[in-house]
Amino acid sequence: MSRYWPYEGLLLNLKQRIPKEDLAYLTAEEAYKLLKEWTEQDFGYDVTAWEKWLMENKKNAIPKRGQNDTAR
Amino acid sequence: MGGAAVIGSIGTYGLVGGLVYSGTELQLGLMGLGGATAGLAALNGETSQGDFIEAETVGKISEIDEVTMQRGWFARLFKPEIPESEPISPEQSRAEYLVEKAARLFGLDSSTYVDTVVYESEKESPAFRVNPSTGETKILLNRSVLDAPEQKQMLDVAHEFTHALSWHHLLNNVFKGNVQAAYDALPRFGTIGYAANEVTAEEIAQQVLRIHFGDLPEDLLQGSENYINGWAESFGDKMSYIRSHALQRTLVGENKP
Repeated sequence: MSRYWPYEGLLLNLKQRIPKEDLAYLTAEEAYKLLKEWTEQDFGYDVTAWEKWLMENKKNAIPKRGQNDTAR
Repeated sequence: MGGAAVIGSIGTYGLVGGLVYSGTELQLGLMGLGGATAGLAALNGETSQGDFIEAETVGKISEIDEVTMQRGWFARLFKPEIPESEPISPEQSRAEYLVEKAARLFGLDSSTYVDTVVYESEKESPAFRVNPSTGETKILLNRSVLDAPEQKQMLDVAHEFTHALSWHHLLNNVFKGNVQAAYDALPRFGTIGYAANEVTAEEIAQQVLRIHFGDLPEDLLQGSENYINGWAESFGDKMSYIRSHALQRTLVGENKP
């Protein structure tokens, strides 16, 4: 289990940045499906668009890379 | 090149390989070898693996008495001091230390629950992993953990160690040692089971730190709560359900996205 924040993990999976041996791994299709399900939005596979929307609409979506949040 | 050693002869030449350090004993062995250019190269550390030196040099070296062989250069040549293991980086040592320290916060010995600790500087996040074939467990720590303040380090590592405890329980108590079955029951990312595990691990890590260090610094607690809420909010009304979960109640049947 990796300590990704929920949407952080989905975005990394959308970009296929998580290794398959990690339990946090999803296919890009699975990640996209969950992003749509959780947000009721649809930006396709456009990671930048997803990131922008999440930053603006989900407070705890992605970790703030501060001193005490760095590892999440 | 860093040096070479005469390791045998081929025809009229000796094959050079391995490591050699020039020194008094080597000079004794090679003195008087007229025209032994390659031998001098060996003396000066200029030969490399696969080079050849004249056979006479090999013969002279083989005539060196046993006392000479047992000390200095020859001792290193024929009985090289091979370290028992690869040198460990300071970060790797630190990572292993932190996992052991976290285990001690639980009153446990890390080696019972974690087979390997690995430092991977650029990994996106710390992680706990299980080899699905062998059941071998691994905690990976990244640079952000090692760079963090002490209590943040302990929170992160205690979190991963909690996953190791969960796996140990799941494997041995629930699945009676069946690695594959236990692995298959681990929830995957994006499921409520995964969320429950993350929330539970974080809450237990918080609690363990409170027991040992008292109240957590405000910013550390806020970051930790944000992490918990991030997962809980992903499942809406199920938040209270997730947060009420005890250690390792893997939600079998709800573990696929």
